[in-house]
Amino acid sequence: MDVSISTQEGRAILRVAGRMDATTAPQFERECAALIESGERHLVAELSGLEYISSAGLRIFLATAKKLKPLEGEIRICGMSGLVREVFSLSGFISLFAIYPSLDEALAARP
Amino acid sequence: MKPLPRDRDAAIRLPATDASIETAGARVDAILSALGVSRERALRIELALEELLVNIVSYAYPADGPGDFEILIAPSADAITLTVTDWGRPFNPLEAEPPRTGDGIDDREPGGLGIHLVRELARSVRYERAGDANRIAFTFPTGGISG
Repeated sequence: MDVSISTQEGRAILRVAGRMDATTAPQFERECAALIESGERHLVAELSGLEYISSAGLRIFLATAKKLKPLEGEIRICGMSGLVREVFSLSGFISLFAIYPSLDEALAARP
Repeated sequence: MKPLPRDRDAAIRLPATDASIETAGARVDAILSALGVSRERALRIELALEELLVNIVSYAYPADGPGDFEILIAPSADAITLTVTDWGRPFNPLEAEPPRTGDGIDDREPGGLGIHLVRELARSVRYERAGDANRIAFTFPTGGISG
């Protein structure tokens, strides 16, 4: 799994590619935690390069959302397709997160 | 589906450790690819396998005790069945309470999602206690993407 981080329009963007599984999910957790620690409150996970996510990855999204909520922040998700979208849907996570087709739409949306 | 190449063993036995989950995934990925299973389908099979192996590594054996898991891969004409065995304490993960997928962020807990995904993605899943072993077999079709 590769995670690259950038900032755009006041939001921290995490572009995630490859596989988020039991082995690699802790890396994504560390990246999210470090951003929140450094004061970021509005994260966007761009997942168009992600082909696989297991429940280990879902846990990190849930934990990150729970951390950000009392800080009046959020993690938006965009670019999901294939198995990743299916896993979010089967888990009921689609309704827990603000989900957008593309990064542009995620950035343009009002809070 | 292509037959299993003779130089590949369709049984994989490894110690029940975190590192083995990745090793097993890579080996199963290679076997599925050799069998001609589509990438989309292989990813779903690997997801079900990962969830079951994480359970075994986390719960089957005492924290400091040794133990193995074994994966058997059995392709048929239009489906593929993976059987995962461990020799730990009796545990049927299919009896776990399903996650409450309608809850909001505050109420959602991460537990139970793995087995829920296995049930939803696989065509069938069954558990048996066979002697001193836990055995879970799950089947995926190998034709079109649905089902």
